[in-house]
Amino acid sequence: MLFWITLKMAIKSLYANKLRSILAMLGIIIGVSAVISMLALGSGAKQSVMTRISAMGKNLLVVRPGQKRHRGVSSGTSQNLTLEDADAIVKSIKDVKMLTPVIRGSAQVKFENKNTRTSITGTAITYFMINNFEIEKGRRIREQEAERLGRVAILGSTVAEALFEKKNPVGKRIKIKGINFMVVGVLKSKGDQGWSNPDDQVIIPYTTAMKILFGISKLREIDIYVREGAELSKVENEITVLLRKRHKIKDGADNDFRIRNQAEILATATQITGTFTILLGGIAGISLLVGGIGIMNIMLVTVTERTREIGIRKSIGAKNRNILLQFLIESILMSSIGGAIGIGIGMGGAELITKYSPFQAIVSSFSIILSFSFSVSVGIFFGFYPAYKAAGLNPIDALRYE
Amino acid sequence: MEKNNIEPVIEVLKVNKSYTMGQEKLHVLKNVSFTVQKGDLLALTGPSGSGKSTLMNILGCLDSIDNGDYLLDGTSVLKRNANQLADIRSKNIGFVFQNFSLLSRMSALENVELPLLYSETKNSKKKAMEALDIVGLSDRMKHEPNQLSGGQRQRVAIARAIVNDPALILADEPTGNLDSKTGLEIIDLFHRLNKEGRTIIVVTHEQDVANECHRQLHMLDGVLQKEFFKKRKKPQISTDKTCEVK
Repeated sequence: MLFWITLKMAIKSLYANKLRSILAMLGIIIGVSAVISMLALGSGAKQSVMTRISAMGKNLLVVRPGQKRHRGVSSGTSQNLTLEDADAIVKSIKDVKMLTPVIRGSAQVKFENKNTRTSITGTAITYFMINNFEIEKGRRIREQEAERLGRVAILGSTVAEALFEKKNPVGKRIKIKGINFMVVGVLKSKGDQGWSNPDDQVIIPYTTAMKILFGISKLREIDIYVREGAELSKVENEITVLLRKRHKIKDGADNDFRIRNQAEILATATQITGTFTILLGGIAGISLLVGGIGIMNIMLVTVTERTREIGIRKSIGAKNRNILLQFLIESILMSSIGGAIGIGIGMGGAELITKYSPFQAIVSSFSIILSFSFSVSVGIFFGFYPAYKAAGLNPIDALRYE
Repeated sequence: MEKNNIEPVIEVLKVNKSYTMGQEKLHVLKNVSFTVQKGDLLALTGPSGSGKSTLMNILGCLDSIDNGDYLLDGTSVLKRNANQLADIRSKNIGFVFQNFSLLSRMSALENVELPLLYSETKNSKKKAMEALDIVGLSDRMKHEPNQLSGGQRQRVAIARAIVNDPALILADEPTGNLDSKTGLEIIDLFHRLNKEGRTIIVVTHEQDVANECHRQLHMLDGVLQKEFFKKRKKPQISTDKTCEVK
């Protein structure tokens, strides 16, 4: 009962000093809305990085030729990955589920009077599974075509649009470097991944790419899909040992190839976005702290102003803890109302960021609970000293205070 | 040396009190002793600076004493901590102040109820309504202090003072802020409450008000001077050892 009257009193006294209460709450409001929207921005960034990376395929190891070095100076990419290397890997390492050789080059692609320069990827049928490519229209390359110099092509969505606009390219003939190819399918768009655009490419059988289109015998990369549950770094080591042996690299000499581990990239990205989130959250947290100081300031003023009231209350029997609780309730009320308003503004802000900026902001219930409980704690922490000061007043001094 | 089936509500025994103001030591109360019996209506008079306010604060358990003893309702209030004193104030003493000292933003009823809430008394609302009824303000319960006249405010303050049924009601210049007519109404109210058996001490410098009381204690320079009795004083008021004039 006393609690309800105290709460009612607190609400009335905040209401009686509307402007002052709002100004005192403003710090908390800004702080909480900053925490909410910054954390939302952080988790939005994290999620979009994760989606992009998992679109490239997990459990993936990519072997590429290393830098050719002559007395410590890089002199271009070494050409030393062969189909035999790929065969050896798939045969002797049991955790490798499948792999695909990849040859890459760029070439002019023509259809009737339209043409575009794009990246040509020569690869085997496993490429689609390993790299999470789906077919939008038509079909994949067949095994026979892949192994036997089939002149078929699958277009990335960007290329398909450039050459065919709205028309269906499946079944049409295009020319790559002047050689006729039959379009058998179109890839489903994956979106730009920052460092490469998988939509801007044409996929053809690797045999065709090596022998007919580019006339090379070395591979640009080997994409390896590791069995689920196997440890990527262990498989990476096994491949390293195997390739060093096959390339006859002496102990102590550098590898002439590089292995990119998708899981490591994922981990690094997660770590970077995590740091980003902590940084944003930290800056926002500081403003919340500043808001707390604002509340403390106002509470000190309130206590001084209401010294006589405290004296009256004490003379009619209020104990120190009654007074303490009264002022503490007032400051907690102020900070939690501020917190609630801040959460509203923060969520609105996150919505606006998502709508009107290239970034995505995702408000998590965790950040709402975190910032609300933090603002309540700010109220307790910064309200305690003024309340304690009020409770400790000597009743006669308080009664005489003018 | 008659009766004394009536227990004293207040016994003040050789109380001394001094304050240190800078370098100076002010001896505010000098060996003050007196007794107040249950059912007394007593006026405490004296010019400002005479120590009557200090005495009143001590009687109200708001201030401590240097030496001597003060028994309220038969028990000494010495060596009590702040919380115990707060408890005594809420259960045994009712204060009425010159400037009413009601809490704004609370209704008359809530103001009267507050001491009961602090002393965690049951049925607080009902008791508060009864107290307002005694002072004749049943129809103003929902009003806030700024919606009431001075006399009404003081009656709310009196209702607040009697709500816990205290042994003693302490009124500090209760008519000081009121016009004479309203002041008389308040004094009448005190008389009525006194007839119902309540013990009341009125601190005042208005002789009219003091003359209305059964007994008058006069303070001067920290010393209790003399005691005036009203002619038609109640028979049960003891005449012995009520005052030790130095």
